[in-house]
Order: sequence, then C-alpha cells, then structure tokens
Amino acid sequence: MQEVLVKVEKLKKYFPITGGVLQRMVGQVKAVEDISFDIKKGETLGLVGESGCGKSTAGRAILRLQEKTSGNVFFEGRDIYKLKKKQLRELRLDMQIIFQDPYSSLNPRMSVGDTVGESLLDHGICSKKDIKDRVMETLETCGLSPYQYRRYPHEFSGGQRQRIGIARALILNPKFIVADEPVSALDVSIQSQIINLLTKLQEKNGFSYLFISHDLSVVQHICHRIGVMYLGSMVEIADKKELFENPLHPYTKALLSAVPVPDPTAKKNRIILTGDMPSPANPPSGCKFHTRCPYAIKRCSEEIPEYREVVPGHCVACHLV
Amino acid sequence: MAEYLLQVKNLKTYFYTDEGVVKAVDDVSFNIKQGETLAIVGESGCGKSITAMSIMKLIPSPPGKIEGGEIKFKGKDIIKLSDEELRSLRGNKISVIFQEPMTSLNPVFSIGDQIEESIMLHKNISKVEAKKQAIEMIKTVGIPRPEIIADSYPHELSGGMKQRAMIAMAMACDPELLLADEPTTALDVTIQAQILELMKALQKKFNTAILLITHDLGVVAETADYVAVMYAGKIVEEANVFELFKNPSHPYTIGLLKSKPIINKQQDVLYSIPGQVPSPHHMPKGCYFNPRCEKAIEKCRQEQPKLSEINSGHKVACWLYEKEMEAK
Amino acid sequence: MESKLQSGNQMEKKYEDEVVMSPAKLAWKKFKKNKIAMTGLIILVIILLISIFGPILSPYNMAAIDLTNTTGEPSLVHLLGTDASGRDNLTRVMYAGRISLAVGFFSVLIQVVVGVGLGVIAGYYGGIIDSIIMRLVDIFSCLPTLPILMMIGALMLDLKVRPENKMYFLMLIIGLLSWPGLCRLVRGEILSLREKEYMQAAEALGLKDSRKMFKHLLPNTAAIIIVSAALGVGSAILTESGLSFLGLGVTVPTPSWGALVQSVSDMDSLQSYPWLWIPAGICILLTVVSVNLIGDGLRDALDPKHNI
Repeated sequence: MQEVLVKVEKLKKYFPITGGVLQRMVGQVKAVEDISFDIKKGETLGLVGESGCGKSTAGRAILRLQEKTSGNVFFEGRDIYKLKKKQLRELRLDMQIIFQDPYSSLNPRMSVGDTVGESLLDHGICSKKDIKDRVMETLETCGLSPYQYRRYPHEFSGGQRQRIGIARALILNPKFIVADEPVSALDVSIQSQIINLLTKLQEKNGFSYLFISHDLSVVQHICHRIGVMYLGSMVEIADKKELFENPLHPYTKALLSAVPVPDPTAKKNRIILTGDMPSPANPPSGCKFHTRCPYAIKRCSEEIPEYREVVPGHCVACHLV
Repeated sequence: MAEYLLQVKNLKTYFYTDEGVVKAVDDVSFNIKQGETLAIVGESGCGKSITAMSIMKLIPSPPGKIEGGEIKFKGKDIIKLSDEELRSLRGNKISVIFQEPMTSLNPVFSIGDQIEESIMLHKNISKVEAKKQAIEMIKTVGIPRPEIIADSYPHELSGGMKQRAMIAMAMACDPELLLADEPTTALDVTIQAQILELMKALQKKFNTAILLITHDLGVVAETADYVAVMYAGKIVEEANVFELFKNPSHPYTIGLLKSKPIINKQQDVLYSIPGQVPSPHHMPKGCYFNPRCEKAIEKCRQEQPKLSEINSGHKVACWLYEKEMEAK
Repeated sequence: MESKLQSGNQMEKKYEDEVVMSPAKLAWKKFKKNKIAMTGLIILVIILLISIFGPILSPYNMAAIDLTNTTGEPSLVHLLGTDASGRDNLTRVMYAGRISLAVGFFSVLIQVVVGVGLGVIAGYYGGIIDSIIMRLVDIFSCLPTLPILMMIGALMLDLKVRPENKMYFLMLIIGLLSWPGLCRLVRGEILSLREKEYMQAAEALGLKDSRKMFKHLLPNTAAIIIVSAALGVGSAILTESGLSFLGLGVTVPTPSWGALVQSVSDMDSLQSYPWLWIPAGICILLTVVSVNLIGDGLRDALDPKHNI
C-alpha cells in the first residue's frame, strides 16, 4: 500500500463578486466546491474538465498559491494552511508547479540560468559556484543545451521555454509537482516530447504529479488515476483503465465521446450535450450537470448527488448510479 | 467530372521583414469541389492560416505580398480582381470564420446588427427583411431564443455561442465556400463536438464547400473529405481522408500521427519527431523536413522534392517515393 | 542522428568560447548602436565638461564685477557679453552649468530613491502598508509647494545659510516634493506586474519577499523609472530657475541657468540684451533634450527583447 503524499479534504474556493457603489459582495463564484482526493507517492493523478470547472484553481489552492475558502490540504500529514510564512517557504522546496503558458511564466528580464538557479541561491542550498553546475546539469536533463543558461526567454521556442519552466521546478528536487496544462499551448510534435520528458523524470525521481488538463488522450497516457471535474465539483474519480473502460457519470461519458479520434473509419456514438456550460457564479440547483444531462430525472434538479465509492477506487456523484 | 469551385495554383505569399524574406506560403496548389471539405493540417508556423487569408486577399501588405500563382474561384482569378469585385465576393460567395470569436466580433454592435449588415451589403432587400433572415440564421445555427440573442452583444454570449454567431454571420449570405480557420481550437471539447456537428449539418443543407484549417488530426478525421498536410510553407502530402490515415506516406505525416496519444491505445513512450520547425530565416537546403527526418537520404539534403502523385489522388513530396512518382 | 549530435556539440563549444558578456556590457553595446541616444550622450558629456573645466580655464572669475562695462554686447574680449554688473557672461553660463546639472541630477536621485523604494513596498505588500504610504503620497501631493518653499527660503535666510549650501537644500527640497508622482507610477506598475504568472512562479519557488521585489518586480519597472527620471531632470532644472527667481534658490553672485534666464524679465531688457538670457536658455534646452534622448536609449537598451 503506497503512502499518501497529498490529502485534499472538502476543499472549497469561492471568489467574491463585488458590486454597487460600496463594493459589497453581491455574489460568489464557486470555483471549487467541496472536492476530496488523495495522491500517493509516485502517483500521477489527472484532473480533467473543461474551462470553468475549477481544476486550475484547485491546483493552486492545493499548493497554497491561492488561499482556500474552507477545507484542508495535508502534505505528508502536515496541514499546509496552518504553517507560518517561514515554514511554508521551506515546504515550497517539496511542492512545485509547472505552468501552462510558456510565454508568461518566465520573467523576460532574467536569463535562463538565473531563472532556473535563483531558488537555490535564495534558499541557501548551494554556494554560488555550485549553482552554475547544478543549473547546467538540470538544463541538460530537461533536454536543453546547458550553455543556453546565458540566454533570455524570448530567444527560445514555446517547447524550449516549457522545458525551462520544468527545469526551474525540477532543480529543487520536489516530491510533488502540479502540472497545470503543461502541454496545451504547444504543438502536437512538441507535446509528445514534453510528455515523454515528464514521464521519464517521474520514473527517475519518483515524484507525484497532479496533472491538470482538458485533453483526455494526454491524460490517459500519463496518469495512473483520473478525476473528472464539472463546474467546481468532482463528478468521478477512478483508475485510468477503469475510467476509460467503464465511465459511470454521464458527463464523463460525454467527454470521452466528444474527443475527436484521428481515424475516419471509427464509428462515432457521440453523445452531444445540449446547451453551454452554466456560469460558476450561478450554478444550477441539485446536480450541477442536470441542465445538460441527457439522462436527467426530476431528482437531479432537486438534490445534490452524494459523492460515493461504488466500486473500490471508483467514486461517482450521480443519482443514476 | 465535377467542376472545381476553387483552384489554387502555385500560390506564393511572402513576408518582407527586416531580417529577410519569409516564404510563408511557398508554391502551394490544391483544388476544392463544390460541397466538399478540404482540411489543411499542420503545426503553428507552417503557413496554413496565411494560405486561407491569401485566398481572401486578407494579407497585411506590407509586410506581406502575394508574389505569384493563381487563385481561381469559379474560373475567375481572385488575385486579378479589383477591390470592388473582391468586396462583392467576400462575405457573399466566400466567407470566413476565425479562431477567436471574441476578437472577430465587433463588441459594440449587437449580433443581429452584424449579421444584418452582411446580408444587406450583398442582397438587395429591406432592413426588415434582413432582420428576419438574420433571426432565421441564428436559429439555424442552434442558438436558442434567437430574437433575444439577435439583440444581445458579443460579451453576453459564451464561447460556444459566439462561435455559432460567427458561423451564422458567415453563412447568412449562403456562401459557396467557407474558410474556417481553426474554428474550434479555442473551444472546450464538448462544445467543439457541437460546432463540428453544426458545420457538417450546414454543409449538407447549403452544399457549401469548406476549407478547414486545423492542427488537430482528430478534427480532420471527423470532418474532412480531403486532407493536405503542410510543413514550412509547402504541402508535403495530399490525399483523400481515408487514404491518408490508412497509408500515411510522408515521414512528417507519419510522425504527426504517431505523436498523438490516442484514447484506448496504450503506448509506453510517445513517438516524438526530433528537433523543431526550422526558423523561417534559416531554411535548410533541399527538403525542408530533412534535418528532422529519420529516413533522409543524400538526395533529400540537396534537392527539394516536388508534390507528385504516387497513387490515385494521393500526392506526396518526398524522395523516398521517387520510383512510384516516376511510374505514374 | 549521431552527426546531428556532433554538430550540436561543436556549436556549443563555439558558444562557450564566446566572450561572456554581462548584462551591463550587453546593454552598453545596444546603447552604442542607437545613434540618436549616443548623440544625446555626447551633447551631455560636452555640456558637463564645459561646466566643469570652462570656469577654470576662463580668464575671468564668475563673480568679478566690472562696473565700467555693464550689459556690454558680445565682443572678442567677452564672447557672450557682460551682465548688469559687468561680469563675464560666458564664464557665468559655464559655471551655472555646474549648479543646474547638480541640482537636476541629485534632486532626481532623491526622487527616484524615495519614490521607487516606497512605491515598490506599497505595491508589493498592499493592505495597510500600502494605505499608509499612499496617504503619505496624498499629503505630499497636496502640500502647497510655493508657500512651503517660501517658508524654507525664509528659514534659510534666517539661519544665515551660506549661498553654496543653499544648493544642497534645493536638491533635497525638489527631490522630496516630486517623489509622490513617481511613487504612484511605480506602485501602479507593481500592482499589475504582481499578477503576472512569473510572479506566481516566484511565489511557488518560495523566494524571499526582498528577492521578489528587487530582482523580479523592480527591473520590470525600469522603463517607467528611466523615462520619469529623464523628465524629472528637465523639470528639476526648470523648477530651480523658478525658485531662483523668487530668491529661494541660489542667490547672486552664484549663477544657475534658470537664474540667468530670469535675470532679464521685462520686455525691454529681453529685446535689448538677448545675449544675457538666450545662451542659458539654450543650455537648458540642450540638457533636457539630451537627457530625454539618453533616457529613451537606456530604456531600449535595457529591454532584452529589443534588438537593434
């Protein structure tokens, strides 16, 4: 039984909407609504969903880059929200993030070497002369030429910049990395390079990933377990094989059938959802998915379905299951 | 033989920058029949969007310029048309849908107004009649409560609805050719599915030909009849959609297909094409793909292969198929 | 594949052999390529040299009065004529350069240090620290500059401050009165930069606040600071001239360009004695323009994306 590294319990993140002359709170965007899951050591948990489902916000709340509204996040048993500033800083060495946009996540005025190595300097991990060696080593591990450390971000392509971002996270030797749509902004042929790199690094170093993405085919390739989010709530979570072979939630089924397959002969039993994603500031009553669900019954609009384990390791929130 | 609606021959669109000439579209030729969908697929920087924009002569000039070739729409060369004649084509016989609906819809006009404007420009009808047609079009693209939406502004609609509105605008005048530049890239996958279904339905209803620009091979497989693969400004492979996915011939096409993770097809390590797209200012000698090609031979480094037929309807630009090309 | 790797390594080797250029050297190289900025720099350096060495090389003392030759026209003996007390104008204009340039640059220095420092802290921490600093900014902005300057002028008179020392007070005062504007600008810029993704990355790396403020945020505000400082130099010189007119700046016999321009103030004198005020005015113009050109050039040179 693998050890649990990260434990998320009933995490909520609401953003206030202010309005009126006095800027009072007139509503809330319920970005993350009561999600719970574990991530074990060496495991990759995928978090999929479409825009507005709250997966990125959840990722940041788990790292405490975004403050939570309620709930708990435990890292190696410690409640990260109870830590003081100095302890949190130390914890950052173990929890890192890779961003989606390789263009805005690097400081345009800092050289690659400085960007990748400054965390070592700031935490006092290495002496100044050792830093250069470590940076060059890490750049090479990430598939970049080590002598590029003097260059600036704008001289690199999107894929290379993403590698720089990965090197920056990697150099601290973290135990847990949140990868927030790390390949979505890249071309297909570069995507595969980066995915291979991330897989190889995990095999070598044994860290855990929270892999956030909207692309199911990528998620299936790299993750061990996958959670599906809709409008802030977790609707289903299961092992990779189980989720793709036996999806239970109607949204998961629709999501899987919506992915275009590069095979013109494939028969499509497509479930086309009606309507658009509702606004997270004004979510539907009961089961949030009921407005678009092809199987919705009366109960779905009245009662929020319970998130429960139906098969060992496979949890769903749906009245019909 | 059905007449070709659009015939593009040896199109060259170059950009003149401070650092040199960028051959964004370098001698590209293809044809589209009425009611057919041709997909041009490639990664960013391959020139597919510029190709579509060239057809409508929407290239920013300077620094861009259509340097050569013919674009024949129903027999008439678009490049040689006057501005007046071009205007009567655009929005009328040839329409465009862009990738980002937010930036292509005018935020200060209502959806209805924008569609009406297009209709009134090309058809000689009254404003009242145009409004009726606009609402009808909004309904056809599957937007609920069309009268209310016609009076709404772009920022009030979701991404999917905005894209539908764009499609309504584009289809309002019953165009014969629709240029769709990455129409679903910015949309969620469930919305993408809706939009692709819509486009297919509209195509059937109006018999519109579609030139679809995309980087997503899955979208290509679902919607296209014919496919052209572009790399560094050139078409490297062209075939009927079934043939392309069954027998991909150009190493780049094969590489692209292999790189994409496919649902329910487990692989340990994803294939990845080594290297990266060459800088437009430092194009390699010979075949542009040769530095990244595992099967490159000496001839590839010296001479550029021409796009030639190897099979009925299947064309490739690759020296590995020299014998097949000669046989034809 | 092998051959590709080999050629890759060869390229790396060549790169390593390249002279390592520090960011400062790189910026200087870019600056040099900018002909307009270099022109500005050359002009400023010439003005500086003339101001420093001119009075030393001049046969006249800038304060030497000669009542036999008051308001004399430019001649071979006095290249720029003489002023109302017979003093050599050219020497005075050159000497005035020292005063005006010193006031211009040092008051801007104070403005930048205080304004940027407080702006970064206010923008970064937000909350109550931001409120306090912004209230300070409001107070300083509302200060009625003229009455205060007059008070200070009167104070200096009372304390019998030596004319030379008045210059230092002047720098301090102008600097302290102009920092609020820059502080607001910098704070605003910091507020928007704070939300950038690379700042989130810095947070995720657990970097110290000081590092985030001074290594990440501050360099990205360099453009605003440089432009503001360049404008500030011009503004300070002009302010100084106004103050001198009110008797709050440097006093006779110490000249400053502003004082020289102000010394001739009625229409009659302006028309009759152009040599008294035009040269000093031109000096102010040249200085302000060249500082602005240098400022623009510097801003472009420091931008790693800007490739000339």
